[in-house]
Amino acid sequence: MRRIVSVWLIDWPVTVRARSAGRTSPPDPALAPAVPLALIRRTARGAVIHALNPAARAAGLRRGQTQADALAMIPALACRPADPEADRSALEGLAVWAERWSPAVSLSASGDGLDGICFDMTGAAHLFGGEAALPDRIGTRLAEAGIGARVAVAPTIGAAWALARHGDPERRTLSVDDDSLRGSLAGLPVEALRVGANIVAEARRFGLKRIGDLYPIPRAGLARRFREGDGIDLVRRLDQALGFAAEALVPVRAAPRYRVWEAHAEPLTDMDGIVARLPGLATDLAAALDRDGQGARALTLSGFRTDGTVSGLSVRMSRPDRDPGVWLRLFRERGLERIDPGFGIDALMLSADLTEPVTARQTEMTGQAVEDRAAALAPLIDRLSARLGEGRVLRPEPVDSWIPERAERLRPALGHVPSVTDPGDGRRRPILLLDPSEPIEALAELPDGAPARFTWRRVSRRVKRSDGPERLSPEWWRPRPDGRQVRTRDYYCVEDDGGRRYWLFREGLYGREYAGHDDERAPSWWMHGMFA
Amino acid sequence: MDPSPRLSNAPYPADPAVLEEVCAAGPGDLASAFAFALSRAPEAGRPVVFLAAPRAWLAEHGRPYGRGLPGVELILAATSTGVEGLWAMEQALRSGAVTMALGGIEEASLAQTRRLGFAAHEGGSVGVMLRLRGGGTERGPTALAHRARGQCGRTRRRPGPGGRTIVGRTGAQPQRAAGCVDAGAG
Repeated sequence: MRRIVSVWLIDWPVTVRARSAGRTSPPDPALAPAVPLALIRRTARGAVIHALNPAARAAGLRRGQTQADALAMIPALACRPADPEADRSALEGLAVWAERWSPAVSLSASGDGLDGICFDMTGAAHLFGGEAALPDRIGTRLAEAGIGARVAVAPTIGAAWALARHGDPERRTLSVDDDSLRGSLAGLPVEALRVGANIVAEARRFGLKRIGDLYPIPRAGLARRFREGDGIDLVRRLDQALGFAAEALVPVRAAPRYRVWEAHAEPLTDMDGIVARLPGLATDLAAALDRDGQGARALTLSGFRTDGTVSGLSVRMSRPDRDPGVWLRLFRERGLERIDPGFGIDALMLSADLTEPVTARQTEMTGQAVEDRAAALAPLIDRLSARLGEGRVLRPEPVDSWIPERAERLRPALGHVPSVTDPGDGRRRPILLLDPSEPIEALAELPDGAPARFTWRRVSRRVKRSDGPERLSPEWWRPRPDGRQVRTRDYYCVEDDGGRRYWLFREGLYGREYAGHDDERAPSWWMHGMFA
Repeated sequence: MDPSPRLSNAPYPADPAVLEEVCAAGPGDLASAFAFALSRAPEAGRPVVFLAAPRAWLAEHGRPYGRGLPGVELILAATSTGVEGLWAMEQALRSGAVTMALGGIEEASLAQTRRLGFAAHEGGSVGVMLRLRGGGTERGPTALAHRARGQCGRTRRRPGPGGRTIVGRTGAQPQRAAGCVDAGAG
């Protein structure tokens, strides 16, 4: 028997506002529970109510009413603007927090928008105090985080959704099993089957107000009568709710295949607790990976906080590894203090987001030094990348181009296996390259003599020896982004009277690419690198 | 122990010691100091060189160009502070995965250079510190075995407290890089 948990977050936009109010702005008196509050959204019809709090609902307002009507009914209504984007991202954050109960959590919507989460807890209820206590625990945990919700547990997604939203309003948590499924659903209204408003209206015309009224009617007749254009029909929803048709949950994030977690009765409030528990988690995860012959390449440590958010830390490795000592060291280099416990972390999870098969290799008896070096290089790069950041540990990689600044690019060394290096074409290239090249003023003989004197970074230098030109034609198939014509470069190696050697170029050829007209750019000189 | 460095007239030792220093005579001499530092790599098939360079250094003087260093496998780490640079260099030296580790570090105390020396010894690699601003007269004792001051065309050497006093000098020949010091050049 499957156990699907559906959580209906009552008045989620108002809850989001109340949770963020104290954090990012001064406290708002309109958010007190006794004050009727409406969140207003602009539509084509004007300003309509997007969400209400219980006080406003008790006063008789509904969603979808225009703001003018609402204010006429209750002049003391407090109105604030609605923010559907913030509501959605907050709901996604809550779904990530709900991963403490199940690896795959999905968002669920009703006619009013996204207002709930749904996850599968088949076979895991014993970890949370048993089948009977499970919905109460979830409800209590959400209430402690300041979120008003109703929790329902049922064998199918449709039934759980229906019970959470349309079940008995007196009870906060509901749980049904296979035997009582039909009976529990029979008393719910037809809207609880997630069908559109016009199907509900049509059913009402036929006198079908409850789901129980649908049971005795032959299915072929129902299917013919109630069908919407996009294929969602009443019979399919009824079958999904009763478990005769399949339905899948689409999780917010892909669930990692390997994860270990542990919950704590007393929340961990400082780093010592996390540091003490991490080695145990790492050993368990390594054992799980070992059974399948996999090694981890990306690990994430997540701390689920009591206020409904998640704080996490990730590390990546160049080669698949399953040594817990190495993982712990990488996490320490990354900095465990980046995890913010807030008011307390009550569950820790270590997951392997990316795994690859790893084969144990027997080390050579003779111990070749070169292989040892190659094997030791990957962990060194992992450690450096963990502390400095992946974008700061780089390797040059040759690119198939003869333009010097494009002939090579620096790529992050993590996870990047160096390709076969090309032997080079024997041309002289500097050991330090200025990227981008810097403009200089040079005095040279036309049309293609080497400069006799040049000024770079405000220092005038005189050239004693020079070599060149090395002519590099432009890559004509790559136009410049600003539309100017790309011109030929003549490279010169020059040595000045101090003994320093530079690599300069002139872009543009006299004669062929520059004819001396006023509207053309004259060829210019640039400094590109330094030789040893 | 004489703290003031003196120049001397013997050839530069060809074998690299565990920890050395090369310092550029002026801001324009960084390329030659870099090349000289690279020449201190022990003779091996294809040296793996690690360079921990401050980001300001890279922005102002240009980045190392792999095409200009044939036969060298280079790993570059861009650091922000001196402490990060020292840490990166120590990690590279201790791991034994690189043949030589260069660090663009301005200031290092006796304790820090001793630590780098131990790490180099443990990993079996060579460490070279690359300094931009020259002038060693005002610095205190360090654990460096040799110190060199690289200037294009001319190379002089200043002794550390435990080092030998040698100077090498190359002629300003356009075909030879300043890093090629032949023993006995006068």
